[in-house]
Amino acid sequence: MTDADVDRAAAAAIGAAAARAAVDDHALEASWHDRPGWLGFFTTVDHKRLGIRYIVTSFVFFFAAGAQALLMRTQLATAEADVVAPEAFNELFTMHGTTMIFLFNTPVLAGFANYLLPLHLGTRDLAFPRLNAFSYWVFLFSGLFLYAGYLIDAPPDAGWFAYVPLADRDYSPGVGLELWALAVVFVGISTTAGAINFIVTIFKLRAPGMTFNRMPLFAWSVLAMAVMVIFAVPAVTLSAALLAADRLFDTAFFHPGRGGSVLLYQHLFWFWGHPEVYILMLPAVGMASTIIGVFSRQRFVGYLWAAAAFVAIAFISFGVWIHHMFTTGVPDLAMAVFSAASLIIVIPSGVLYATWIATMINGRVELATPMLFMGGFLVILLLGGVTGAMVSVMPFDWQAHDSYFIVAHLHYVLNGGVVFPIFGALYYWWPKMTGRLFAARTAKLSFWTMFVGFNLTFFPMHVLGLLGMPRRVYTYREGLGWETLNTLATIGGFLFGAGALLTVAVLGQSRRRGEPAPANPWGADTLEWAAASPPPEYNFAAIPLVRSRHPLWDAAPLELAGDGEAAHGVDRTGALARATPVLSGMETEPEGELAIPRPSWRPVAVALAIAMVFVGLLIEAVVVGAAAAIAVLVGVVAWAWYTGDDLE
Amino acid sequence: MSGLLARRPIPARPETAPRTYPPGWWGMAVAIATEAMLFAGLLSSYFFVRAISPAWPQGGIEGPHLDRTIAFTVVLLGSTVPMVIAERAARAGKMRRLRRALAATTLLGVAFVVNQGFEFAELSFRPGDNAYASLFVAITGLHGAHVVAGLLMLGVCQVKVWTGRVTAARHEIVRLVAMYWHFVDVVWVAVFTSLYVSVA
Amino acid sequence: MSDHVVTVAMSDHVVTVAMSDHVVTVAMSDHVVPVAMSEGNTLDPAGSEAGTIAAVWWILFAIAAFVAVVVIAAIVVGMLGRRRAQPLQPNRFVGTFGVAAPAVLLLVAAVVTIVSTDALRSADDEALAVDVIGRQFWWEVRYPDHGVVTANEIHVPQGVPIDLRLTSDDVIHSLWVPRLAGKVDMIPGQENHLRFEATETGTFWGACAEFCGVQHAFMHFHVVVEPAADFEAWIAARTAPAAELESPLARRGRDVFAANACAGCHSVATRSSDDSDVNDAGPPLGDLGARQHLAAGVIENTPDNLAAWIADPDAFKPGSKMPAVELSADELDAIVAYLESLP
Repeated sequence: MTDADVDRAAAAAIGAAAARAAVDDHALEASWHDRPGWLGFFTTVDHKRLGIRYIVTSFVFFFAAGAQALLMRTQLATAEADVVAPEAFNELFTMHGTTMIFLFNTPVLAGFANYLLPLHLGTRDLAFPRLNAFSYWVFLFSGLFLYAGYLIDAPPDAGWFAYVPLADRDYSPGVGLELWALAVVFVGISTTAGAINFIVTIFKLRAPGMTFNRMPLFAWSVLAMAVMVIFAVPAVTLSAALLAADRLFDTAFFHPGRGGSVLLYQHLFWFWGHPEVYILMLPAVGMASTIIGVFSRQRFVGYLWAAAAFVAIAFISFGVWIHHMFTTGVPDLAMAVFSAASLIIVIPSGVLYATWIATMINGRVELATPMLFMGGFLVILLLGGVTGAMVSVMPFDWQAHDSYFIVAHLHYVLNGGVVFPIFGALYYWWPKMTGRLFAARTAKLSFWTMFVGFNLTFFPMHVLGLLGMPRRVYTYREGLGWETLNTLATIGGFLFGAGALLTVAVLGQSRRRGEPAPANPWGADTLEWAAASPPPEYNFAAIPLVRSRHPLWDAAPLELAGDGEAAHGVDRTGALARATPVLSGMETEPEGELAIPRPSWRPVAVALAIAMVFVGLLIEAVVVGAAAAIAVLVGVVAWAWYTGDDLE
Repeated sequence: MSGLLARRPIPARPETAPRTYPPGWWGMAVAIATEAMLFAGLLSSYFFVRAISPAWPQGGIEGPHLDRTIAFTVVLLGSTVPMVIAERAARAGKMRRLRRALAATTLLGVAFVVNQGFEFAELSFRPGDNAYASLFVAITGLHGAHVVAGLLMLGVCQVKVWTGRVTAARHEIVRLVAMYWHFVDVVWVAVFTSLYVSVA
Repeated sequence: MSDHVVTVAMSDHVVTVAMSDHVVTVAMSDHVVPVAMSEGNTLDPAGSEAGTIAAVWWILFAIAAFVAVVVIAAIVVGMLGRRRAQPLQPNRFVGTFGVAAPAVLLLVAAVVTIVSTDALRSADDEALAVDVIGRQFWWEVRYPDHGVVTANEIHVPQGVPIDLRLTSDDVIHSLWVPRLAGKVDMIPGQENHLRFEATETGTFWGACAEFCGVQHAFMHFHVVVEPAADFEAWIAARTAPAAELESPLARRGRDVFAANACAGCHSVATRSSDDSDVNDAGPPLGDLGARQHLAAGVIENTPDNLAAWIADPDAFKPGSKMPAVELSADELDAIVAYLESLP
């Protein structure tokens, strides 16, 4: 089928549907409205409200983890300091890593995907809105569950990876590590549910004419990420669940004395652990690609290359996990294979850099705030990438592993490659989400503060690693030559934190007194900028007909089929206004419509019941756990009772 | 909100609708993929520990008895037949056949689970004895839990059928339950081969 | 590497890396940039393993620096430049700079990997075997061929291949002597090997490099490299039967040691034949007097430090598992005299 054929078929289907009955905007408004006040807060299934909620909650965890980091940096600024006791320090780096990976980076990107995906795809919500709400509540409850460790004076302290045997009951008594392990299993439910939602939405709910070839790059990155989640998260669920079992039920999975294997834990953990960093990187990079294209005033150069690179990264990332275990004594042949794969994965990253640079060079860059963050991202991720290639070379890794060189590397890729795009994305989509503009000059200052602060913190750590400073040490002796660099790193850390807080100040100010934002303040090309700022609950009164990769930039304007007022692709029989068209396959064939469930208590109730199951396991109370499990089953049955087939 | 079992009018859909993979189908397929990875991880762990163990099973534990398990394997895999019949019956609108086929599937599934329960009670070892014991219990236990979940889904499905909420035009739930049930069968083939047959 | 000078030529700029004693200088034409001196400086190798890895580092660094400069320049040009009259063709540009160029550089890295790994893995049948067992938070060191047992200080002869056989009795540790070799993990239930050859004499600092609990930060040790004759003498001093204690204070100290909790965790054997497993909760102290450091490589070994350490271990290493033993000042003096007189 040619493009013209696709357009004709889609237009015909839409026209037919519109002809059946007209809808008026009142019906649309009324059926999409959330319940007011607290009732609405707990029962909403609106992807935009949930997306923003994800982002806000994640940022609360971001600043908690940031505070933990600054406490550590204060302790490490000088040799043999007494600011933080060793036990407390070990809790700090455990909570910092766990929070940043599980409770900030992963959910904040899920939040952006939540908010943006339906708007990018020209549809009204995700495929499973109640599952979406459920994902958020599970995330919130799992984060609270983990942080309850501070309340019961048992925060976990065996590192964010919790290697056995240190994480076993023998060497880490108390509930802290059960808390950690159960929290990891708990939050994995949220991530997995989100991934299912994203995949099905991308497959089934794209607007008419939006073939895969025309889908925004962000959607491609989310698709690749979600598929990775499906295949990777079970591994960490297993490593954490088996650890919890060893601790709670005295099983022997990881006990060498009883036939178990210590290394098995590491294999399971890193089988997820490596794909996880690309699970974080891909959506961030997808957002970066979007923003770079917009502010270069240039159609993205190498769209297919970039999409292919996302897919390639998703695949190859499953074949490199042993590079986290180069010092454990795995056989040389295995190490060689994984070393080679770790080098090969640099190529799709190289492809992405080429597309970004070509897009900027072919265009003319406007240095708006979001674009500055993308510039920072490009530079920092590059340095992280080259150090990553360096540690793929086993002999060098034998010196660098578990030293501050790796701390530097991981922060360059995760902070530079993920956090900088997140901040840029926050500024970029802020007007759309809140309907307000922000003060650009202060915002740009926040970028420079963060950029300088970041490099001041983490660049010296490369040198510290080469000078022999191991990771996860609460202090170090004088005379090893590490003091000056550590002091610099601490100063940088506070600077970076100040920049992040400045962002909060800028956006807080904008919320209260910012100028109202037009629909498309940046002159961007994707569909969300066609809706108002902020968009109505139903996103689009009329589902758009998409003719290109850059719908808002192209000569053929967004088309509204029918008489210009009708929402189409929606079966109006019985006034089913609360629905979105299902179009799928390679040519976006229309398949009918998906009824969007009404706001519901069921997601938060089931999430709460699941939380009680985990609490029951934690405090080893069979009654609590069993009762909660039954509650989960009842809740799930009640939820699944009304599916899209039925009217509510 | 009216009661769960109240009857409600269901809008008709054109009979000529093409047979597609609706969102629910994809959701179930992706969920199955992730659950499959869970089992893949456990079975890989099983073979990893086995590869580094001088003797298998460890600790002088006797390998599992095949006879009874073979019989109930036939029972579980046999339940595929009524499940397929049920799906076809739903598509053709033959409600009575659908009801019987679903009931048969459930019965066979229950038989399997009950036998698993007895096998657990009669184990000659405890899960904490060694890694083999832990893995055996974890893998068969997780599979058993999935069968129980499948039985619950069959239960919900049958209630929906009995209360008239399933028709020839709207029978997606039967399709989804069938997908899940086939998945549970396939997993059992893998578990049975790895834990029972390869040790005999 | 001859004369410890490696020259890397990049177009017109010659980068010379000279390593002598404890200073590494990187000279690029006229600019000399000294790198900080440090006991743990991986780029100041004193062993052949560390030397190979340092060379690997410099090659990778050269490639990385080149890539960083070129790409950052391109980013800056992209962000500040004007729209091109002749737009770049996506396939050619991405194919060249996104696929071909990285592939070439990665191939170089792969070759470096293969060559260096091969160099580091050459089997040595004549290697001197030393068993090191990691524990929270100290190192048990045994010489199976000589029947010697000690702790926290590994003596090796210069210029002889060494095979450290590593394992752990509790959690995962990792043995790392940055100036001599890369690190290898110590995993309970598994024996790993670290092979290296020390080319210079001296005392080299090392540390545990896998988080192992509350005092991971202070689980240090030292490798003492000495000429072969000195090493033999060191071994002989420990295989000889225990000498009679000369000073009465030391003899009194021995009694205090036996009468208190000390003997419950610490043996005073230096021969593995005398060392029973009963009291291995703490390091064997049979040659404590001759060691350079206390508390697993953390404190200088002086009588005052030893007294302070015994009186209150938590002051130096909170969580170290050594309890503070109630001793009078006299008893403390006696014990210190006794321990410092060993072997």
